Amino acid sequence: MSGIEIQNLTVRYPGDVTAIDDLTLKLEGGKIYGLLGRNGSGKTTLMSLIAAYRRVTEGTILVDGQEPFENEELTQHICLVRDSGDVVVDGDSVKGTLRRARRFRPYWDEEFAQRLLDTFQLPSKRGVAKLSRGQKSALGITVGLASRAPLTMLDEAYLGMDAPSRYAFYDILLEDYIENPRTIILSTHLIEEVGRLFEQVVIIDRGRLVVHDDTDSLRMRGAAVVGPAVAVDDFTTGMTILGEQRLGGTKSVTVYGEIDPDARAVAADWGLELSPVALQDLFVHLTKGDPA
Amino acid sequence: MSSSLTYRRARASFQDLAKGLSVSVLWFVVIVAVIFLVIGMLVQLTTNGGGEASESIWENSAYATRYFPLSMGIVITAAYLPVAIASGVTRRSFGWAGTATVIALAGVMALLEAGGYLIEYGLYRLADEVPTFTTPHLFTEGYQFWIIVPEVWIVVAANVAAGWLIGSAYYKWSWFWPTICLPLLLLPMLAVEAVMSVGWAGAVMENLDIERLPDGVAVLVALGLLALTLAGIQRFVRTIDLRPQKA
Repeated sequence: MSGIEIQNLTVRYPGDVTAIDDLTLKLEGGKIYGLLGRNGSGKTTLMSLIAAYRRVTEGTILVDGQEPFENEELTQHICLVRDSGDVVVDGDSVKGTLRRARRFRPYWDEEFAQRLLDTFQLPSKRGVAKLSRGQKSALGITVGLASRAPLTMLDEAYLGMDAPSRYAFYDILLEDYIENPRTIILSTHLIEEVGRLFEQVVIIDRGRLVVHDDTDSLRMRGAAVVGPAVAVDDFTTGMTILGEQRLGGTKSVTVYGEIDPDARAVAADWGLELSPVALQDLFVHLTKGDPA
Repeated sequence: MSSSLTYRRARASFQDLAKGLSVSVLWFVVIVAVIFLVIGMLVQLTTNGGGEASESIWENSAYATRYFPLSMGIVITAAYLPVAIASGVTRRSFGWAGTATVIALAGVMALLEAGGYLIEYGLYRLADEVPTFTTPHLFTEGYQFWIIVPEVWIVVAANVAAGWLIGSAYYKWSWFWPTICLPLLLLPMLAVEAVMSVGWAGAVMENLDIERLPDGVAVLVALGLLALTLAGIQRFVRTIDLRPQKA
């Protein structure tokens, strides 16, 4: 079911750049993962190694217990769409791109692909070079989803797509995942938009694992405290504050750290509302540092 | 690893390459045929009185049928390796597909050349002439397609393979080192050209007073060099990482 085990993975690029730094991670199969990280944090490199776009030189990656590099049995079941460009050839048409995917992908669903073309309003006869940025992304997503690869990875695959197309993509992805469960890894910067899809979240920063947790558990690592300003200030004293907003006498403070049942009872007594923290706020907190 | 899976994936990858290159190749064939056969022959026949041996026009097409396929070889890795790997094809399978492409493309050129020589021979004969060749060949007459085909096939295959090697090196290492090492990258092709000693290479060898190997030996040695070159490229392609995407 396309579980992934990564052990002590390190990737160094020329110029003394460490893209992945001794990363160890285990992902069970059959889930939707959000792979989050700032620019240059190593997300694309990690997915490229899993998809055998690159050779692992330090550490190991196993997909379903096997190394993916030059492993045809495995790679035909792994689909990584990086910004759409890899799955298309300049001079090809949309139709030609789908023909290729049909040829290579054992679980290719032509009907689903046509439905996606209709949804994204992609003209099948148009040359890839004539597509807009968003249309190219939509084509990449079409190939990525209709391939129905047991391990599907989409790396910022929505770039340039307008909001209606992106929301259609999220809905279709979820619907298709329910009908055809598989392992899906989504790398994105639009955390709030895509976050609802994630069952688990992996955050990496400077090539190192920062967090790997269920999305709900992660969101419970912090809280948004809303209520009268004075009560909110008193309640959050000594806590790690991620952000705050004030409107008249009402204040909302986002804090990081677990809030125990006693503290929750106090909050209720004081008329404060506690809600899970926004994933994006947590991400910003966990990865803050030098600008990327 | 099942070899039947590798075969199926390599075949699919070859079909993808063939489909991608076919339009350019088709246009090339049409253009070459028009330029060399129609215009060239008309000019030649209207300027000669007939009854004499006359230089072959079609022989000059050998440059085009060498270097256009060489340029096609250059794009094999740069244009099709990324999409093959992104489609789950291994470098090993892609290497086989690339090899098949080299052989097939050279085969098309060999048939084109042989057909051209045959037609030219027929047209010259109609004008009571016999085309003669300005550079050495394994064949002596334009109708000897059974010799023309292997000669052209081997030489063009060496050129396409050279293109594939150069394109792969540029893809892997970018422009600087491959440019510096370009003569080295051309060595396998030059070796085949030298061994075959046909066309321009044959003329050069003649000028250098280097005797050509017996035809059978030359063909076998050239095939051996070609096989080694293709095997080397296959090994090389298996070391290539996909480049990051452009922003």
